[in-house]
Amino acid sequence: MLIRVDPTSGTPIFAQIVASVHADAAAGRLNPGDRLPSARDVAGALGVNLHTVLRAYQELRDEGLVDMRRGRGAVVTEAVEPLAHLHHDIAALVARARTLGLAADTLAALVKETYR
Amino acid sequence: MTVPAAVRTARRRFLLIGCALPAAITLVAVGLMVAWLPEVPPTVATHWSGSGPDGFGPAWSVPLGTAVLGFGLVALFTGIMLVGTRDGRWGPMLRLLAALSIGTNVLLVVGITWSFGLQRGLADPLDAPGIGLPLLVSTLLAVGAGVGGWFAQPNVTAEGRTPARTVEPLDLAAGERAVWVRTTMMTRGGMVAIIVSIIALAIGTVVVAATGSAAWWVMLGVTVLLVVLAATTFVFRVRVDDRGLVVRSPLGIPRFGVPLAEVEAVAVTNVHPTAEFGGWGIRLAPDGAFGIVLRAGEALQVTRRNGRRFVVTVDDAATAAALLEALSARERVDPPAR
Repeated sequence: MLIRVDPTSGTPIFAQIVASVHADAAAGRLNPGDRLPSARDVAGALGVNLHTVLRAYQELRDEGLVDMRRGRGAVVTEAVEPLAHLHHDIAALVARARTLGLAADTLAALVKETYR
Repeated sequence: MTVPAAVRTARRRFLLIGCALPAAITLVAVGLMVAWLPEVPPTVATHWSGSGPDGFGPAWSVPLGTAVLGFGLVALFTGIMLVGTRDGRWGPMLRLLAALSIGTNVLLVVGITWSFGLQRGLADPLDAPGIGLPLLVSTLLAVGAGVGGWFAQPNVTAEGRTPARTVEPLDLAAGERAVWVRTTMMTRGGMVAIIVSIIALAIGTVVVAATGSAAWWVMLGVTVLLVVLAATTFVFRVRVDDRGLVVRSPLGIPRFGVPLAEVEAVAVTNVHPTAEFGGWGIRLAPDGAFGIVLRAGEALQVTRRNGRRFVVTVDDAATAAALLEALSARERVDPPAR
């Protein structure tokens, strides 16, 4: 799985980590039962605070995307499957938006609006 | 794609040195031994210790065993080559396999045939002479055949129909940090085979210990060593971050990798374990490539500054390659002050 954070972006770091895991799930890089890397490893590799990563993992647990078990770390649940199913649709939609010259935020806002 | 002429030559040479010659040697040896059958005692010595023959078997079993062993090894080596190079690839490992095929064949066939021939005219296999000389000569001949076999083959490397492909670097912002991690595991079949053989060895150790032989502690040592090796090499965690590529077992050791400053090029390849690395596990190929090969298929390949390749079989290698490519490109433009 790929986790990326941009400290210069306005989005909080923990939210960027959550978004990375969502993207991993949507790209089919995560399967139920997979274990996320330990929060300490992620914090070390990204040069961010351990608590920031833990906060992101808690967020993912609250969403039901991972299961936190003592001694087993964060384990991906069945909830990733719907995300992976949308992978091709999302890729197609983004490609279409790009050719039409739509910004990412505009597309996100449109999707949110339609979903409501 | 048509197979290049160089690969066709290399393949023909393999079939001559690794297949036809050893098969012919086996055939001649079996023929000789069958012809000698009336001259040897019905029971012959088949195993020697320092002080003389200590293992015996029916005379007919020796040519039969030689045929099975000789042709079996030829079939094994040739099978590895035929299956592993179906996509048109070729490499120094195959050259080594053909050399090994002829070398092992000469060692076994000459050694067995000579020790069999020594027993012509004997009434009692216990009188069989020592086999020091046959062993020495067959070893020398085997080394000669292996070395000759190696040099009789051309040095050809071809990637075949699934060449290593480079990937577009990941689109990283200037200050963006990223990490890619993935666990790579031996296939279930491989794990089962290894676990079963360790259990067999453990049972053997208990049996040997029960017979009171002093060899049991050697076997115990080997069993423990195998358990430790298996536990540390079944699973590896692969990580790419701004320090480079790290592959380590869950216990922390062993640990391998390529620091970011050492990365020359990154690619995704398709590994065929036996044809490229001579098998599974932590391998060194004849061309200096280092492989952590837990299964066939998708792998991340990093070429070091000194030209040597580091290969690890892992899923989603394309993402890892894209990230490593982006990070090393950034390092080349703006090396950190360390």
